Amino acid sequence: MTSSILGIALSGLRTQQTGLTVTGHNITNVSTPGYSRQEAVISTSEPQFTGSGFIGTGAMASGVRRVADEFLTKQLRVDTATFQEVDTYLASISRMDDFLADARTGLAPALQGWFAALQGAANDPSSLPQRQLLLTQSQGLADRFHALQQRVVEENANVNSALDVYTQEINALANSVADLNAAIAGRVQGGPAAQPNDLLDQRDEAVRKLAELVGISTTAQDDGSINVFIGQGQGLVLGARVTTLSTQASTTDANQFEVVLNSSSGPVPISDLISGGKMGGALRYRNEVLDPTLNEVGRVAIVMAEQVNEQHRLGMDLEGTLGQNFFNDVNDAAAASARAIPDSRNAPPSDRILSVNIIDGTQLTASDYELTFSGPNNQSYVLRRVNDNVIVNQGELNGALPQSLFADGFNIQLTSGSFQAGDRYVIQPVRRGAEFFDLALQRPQELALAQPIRTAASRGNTGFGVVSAGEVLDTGMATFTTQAGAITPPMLIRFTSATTYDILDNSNPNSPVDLVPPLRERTFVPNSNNVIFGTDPGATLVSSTGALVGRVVAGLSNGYPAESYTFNLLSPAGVPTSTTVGTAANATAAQIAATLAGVPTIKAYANTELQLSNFTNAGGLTVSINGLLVSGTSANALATSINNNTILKNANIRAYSDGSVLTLRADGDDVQVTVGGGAGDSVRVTDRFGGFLNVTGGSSATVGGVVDVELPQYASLTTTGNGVFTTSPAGTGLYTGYTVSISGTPATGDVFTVGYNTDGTSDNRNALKLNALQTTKTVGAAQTLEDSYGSLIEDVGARTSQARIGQESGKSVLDASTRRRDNVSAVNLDEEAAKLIQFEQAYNATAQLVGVARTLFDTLLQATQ
Amino acid sequence: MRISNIDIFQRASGNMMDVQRQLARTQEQLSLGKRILSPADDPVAAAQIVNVNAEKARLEQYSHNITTLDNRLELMDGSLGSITESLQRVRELAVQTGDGALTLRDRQSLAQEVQERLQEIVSYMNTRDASDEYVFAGFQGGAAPFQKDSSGHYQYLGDQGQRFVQVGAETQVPMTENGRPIFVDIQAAKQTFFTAPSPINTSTPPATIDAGQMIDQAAWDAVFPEDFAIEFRPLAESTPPGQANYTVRSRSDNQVVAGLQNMTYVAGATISFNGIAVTVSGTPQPGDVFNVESSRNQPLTLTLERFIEGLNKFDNNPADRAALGKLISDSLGNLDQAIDSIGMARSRVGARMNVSETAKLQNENVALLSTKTLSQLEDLDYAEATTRLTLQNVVLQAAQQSFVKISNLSLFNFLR
Repeated sequence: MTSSILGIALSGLRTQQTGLTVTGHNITNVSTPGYSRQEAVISTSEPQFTGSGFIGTGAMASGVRRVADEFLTKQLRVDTATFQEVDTYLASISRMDDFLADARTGLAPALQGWFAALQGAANDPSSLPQRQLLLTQSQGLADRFHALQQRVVEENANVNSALDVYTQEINALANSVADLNAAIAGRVQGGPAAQPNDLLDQRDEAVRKLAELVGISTTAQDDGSINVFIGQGQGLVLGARVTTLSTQASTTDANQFEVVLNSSSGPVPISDLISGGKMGGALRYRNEVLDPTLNEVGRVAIVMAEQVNEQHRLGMDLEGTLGQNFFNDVNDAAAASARAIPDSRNAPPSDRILSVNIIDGTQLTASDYELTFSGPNNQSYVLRRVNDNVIVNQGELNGALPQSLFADGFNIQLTSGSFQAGDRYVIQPVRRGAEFFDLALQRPQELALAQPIRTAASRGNTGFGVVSAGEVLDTGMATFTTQAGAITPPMLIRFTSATTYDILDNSNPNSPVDLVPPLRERTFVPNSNNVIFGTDPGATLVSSTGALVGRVVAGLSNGYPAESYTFNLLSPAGVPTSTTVGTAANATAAQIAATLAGVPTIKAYANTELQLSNFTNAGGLTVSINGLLVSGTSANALATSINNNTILKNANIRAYSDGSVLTLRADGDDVQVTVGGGAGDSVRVTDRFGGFLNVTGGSSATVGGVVDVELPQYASLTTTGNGVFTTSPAGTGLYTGYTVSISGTPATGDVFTVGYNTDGTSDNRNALKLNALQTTKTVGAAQTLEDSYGSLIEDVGARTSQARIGQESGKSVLDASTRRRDNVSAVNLDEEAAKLIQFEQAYNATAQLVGVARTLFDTLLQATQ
Repeated sequence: MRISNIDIFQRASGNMMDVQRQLARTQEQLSLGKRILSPADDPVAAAQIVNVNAEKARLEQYSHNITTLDNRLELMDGSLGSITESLQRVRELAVQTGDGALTLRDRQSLAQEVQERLQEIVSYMNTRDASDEYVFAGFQGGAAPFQKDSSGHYQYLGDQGQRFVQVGAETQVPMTENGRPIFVDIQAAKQTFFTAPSPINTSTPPATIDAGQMIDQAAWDAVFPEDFAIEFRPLAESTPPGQANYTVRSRSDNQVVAGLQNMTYVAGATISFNGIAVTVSGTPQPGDVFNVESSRNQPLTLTLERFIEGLNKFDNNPADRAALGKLISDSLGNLDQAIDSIGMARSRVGARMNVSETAKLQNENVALLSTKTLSQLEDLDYAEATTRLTLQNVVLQAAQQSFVKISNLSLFNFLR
């Protein structure tokens, strides 16, 4: 009996000791991260069967149980990854948020300063200090763009180094998980009370730390080890085996690191698959904030440089030369080729040369693009806008290079190389805009604040015509490039009547001459705005060059054949249309012009010129013009009577005499010359081409007019070619690169001139046009430069605000799941204190049992003595 | 529910940190006076703030522009006022010259004073601003707009350019007046003409032509608006050959004006045709041309020059007296026209001053509104923030005290 009492006591002592040990283990690990409290599993020993039934044999500690809930542990991991991602993201985006809006670092104050300096210069265009100030502000603006760019580049470098650190930490943690897997594997068969509790805790903690770095998922194996996966199921830890991560320069952008999984079959990029954890936050920051910020700022820089340059080149500087680029050309070779980045995996040889030119900055988006040669042949290409995944251009190359692909305001120029199926290019039209934004002008004199042309009304004008100041449209035209400091030719507009004018070459102001081809007898509508030089860059002039046109012929008709005219036009919507009109035989040039001018968008003018000379008067010489007898037999006398003849005057037939030769002009009507008298009386009628007829008494000659047709851009003219026009007459360009109009009521003989704005140092017209860019919606054709930057601030601000909310909710979710896990698994000292007391008391009681056993034994011994 | 010690500690420290962060934020708001510390606090308002600030900067620039404009307008107004005063004096002199008792010498001394007034007026027409720009020169402000030509007459060398200044988002106001409409294109009292040596003339020193006098208005009106050219012909064409000679042609049809073909040239002799009389002096070379152009306008300087030439020239014989009478009455008419023209220019300038004043007021109103908007967008409500600070303070203190109390409670304290 006593032995069994002693046995029971001993078992009790051992059991309570185990309880105290476990409690002590719990107390000492109260602050150990990831520790799960343990409980001694106490049970009764196997009872002994005796004649009096089953008799207990005491207690035993059958094991130590770890109080943990697999579900809570997993939830904690997920919430940790979510919180760490948004927390890292918030910390990063807050920096960018502050930077963009800060008056000392943001773009808005620099833009405002630039426009303010521009207006200062506009108010006093000849002042060098004002011009210098504008240059200084421009440099300041460029510096600000660079600072923004630099800041984003630094942030990108931070992301790169963070990715580097994270991959190393992930590798280290993955290794410890694998080691722990190896230690745990095969030791879990003893049931829940015989597990390697502390190893399991260590492994759970390592996995939780992994979740801080990157989103993971786990699966438990039968042998107690767990597999860890990242991304979309890429194995990181499989049992005791680890697949390491590393970073490398991205195949599409060497400045950005991407995360690769070093699998047995080679490195696999997984950046796009990763979410969660600090790594997910860093990647999200790069994709959602850094790249778009750089694109938006770059777009502002490109639009600003392009628009300012375009307008500035239309101006004239203080020294009278044409404006140069104000900022660096947006399409300079380095910038253009930096916009297309070939994927490093493109098939060798790397011989493809391509560049991206900005065609119209206002159409640019802030997106990147992807150009892929999708196969199956080497010609098929697809250009996709990344932001909204829309295909903006696709088709087949036509074989020969160079070739260009247009989309969204830019042009991809494929210069040379073996473009082939599988090639991939990242097209970043605006990414590096801020970096390449630089001041091109050096000296304040080079600021082109003036316009290179000026118009004037002659002092001797007797009518009330007003000439517009003119507007320069393209200084690349021959008008401006032929001779520096001049327009070629300077123009003179002379009114031949109240409703007609000639445009003449005013190179020699003392004797203006006809242009080539001549622009004569153009129609003027009094009291309305008459565009003299138009804005249509493709306008051409087609002249009637038929064999009979403008020639002197015997008789009373001009001999023009009937003709049919077909105009091929482009409607405003861009739809080709064709219109055919016809004219009858012997129609006058004026009638032909009126018919042709009836076709929409077509203008037509006519003019007639002839000369009368060699007046031979045998006694009976008389001259009739268009059937009207005019007195006189000499050039001077005839001129006077023709100019005084009301009917001829109303027909706008004008005579000029130099004493021996009488020149007659009309606006397209036929001029019939009938000579009266005998065979000895004659007058020579000469046409503008030098052909002549000696008209003797009793006979007549007729000179018809020539027709000039003005065609708008993309229009062409074909005719039946019967003799007024050739079949498809060639046109001469009419576009001068500037536009000028005249309104009011000029009088006959009034003269207006268009010339170079020599010494126009006080002119600020171009500065005002530059200044208009401040309020013009130039960015994406919807926002001003400042608006665009404002919406970038708004966008980053909204993302930051969203991230703040995300971070707060992520934190409370994480807190809640931490609490739930802790409340199950973590140590409560009061509880342990109670257990301490419990086990101590039990121990003391059990010790008493030993005493009882000894007393029993002593009693027995005494009895036997 | 079971609670772990780690939870008690973390919960307490986490909560206290939260309240401390809020306190720090409220404190920063109070010290800056701003509701929005970063755009993320209110992204929409932040974007609006950028726009409003841009607008404020623009308005500030407009007000600078208006100051510049006002200075320029006042300068022009002052010059125009001075010219008007001089013209009034010339007008008085012109009335005096009508006195029949005056001798040629008397008139010549009066001409002397008119000459001085002319110089004075030209100096005002060549007014420069603070940055040495000629204000009446159009775009060519770098050079004096009124300079003498080879015949000694003032010509306008500027252009018809006009500079604008931005005084509001949509408003541009002309800030300059060029000399053409004010001083040159002045409608003449009667149809008139002006003379000019052609720039292709080759004689050195250049042969000159005087301003010319109107002798017979009706004869001139009959040919108006014809222009004429006095061409010096090759010496061989004269009779007898070898003498300087000229031909007068009408420009529109190139015809010789009645009788004036290959006329022998006598320096300083009057050439008369169609009611006007001009004088060419010097030694013109064959090929030289002097233009006589009809005009409805007569520049201010020409009125004075013609008047001076007439005073110096017309004697007391009946023909000269008649011409002098016409000259004086034409000159008085033209002086009145000039005074009118300058008056109109001054009223244009004045109207522009009004526009600038209106624009200034309008800009100030908008600026006030912008400031108000800005204040609403980003300024802090101090009462609310102070209350919030107090509340957060109380919360923090409560959290701290309760934590100390709770953390002292432990069963181990009783295990002794």
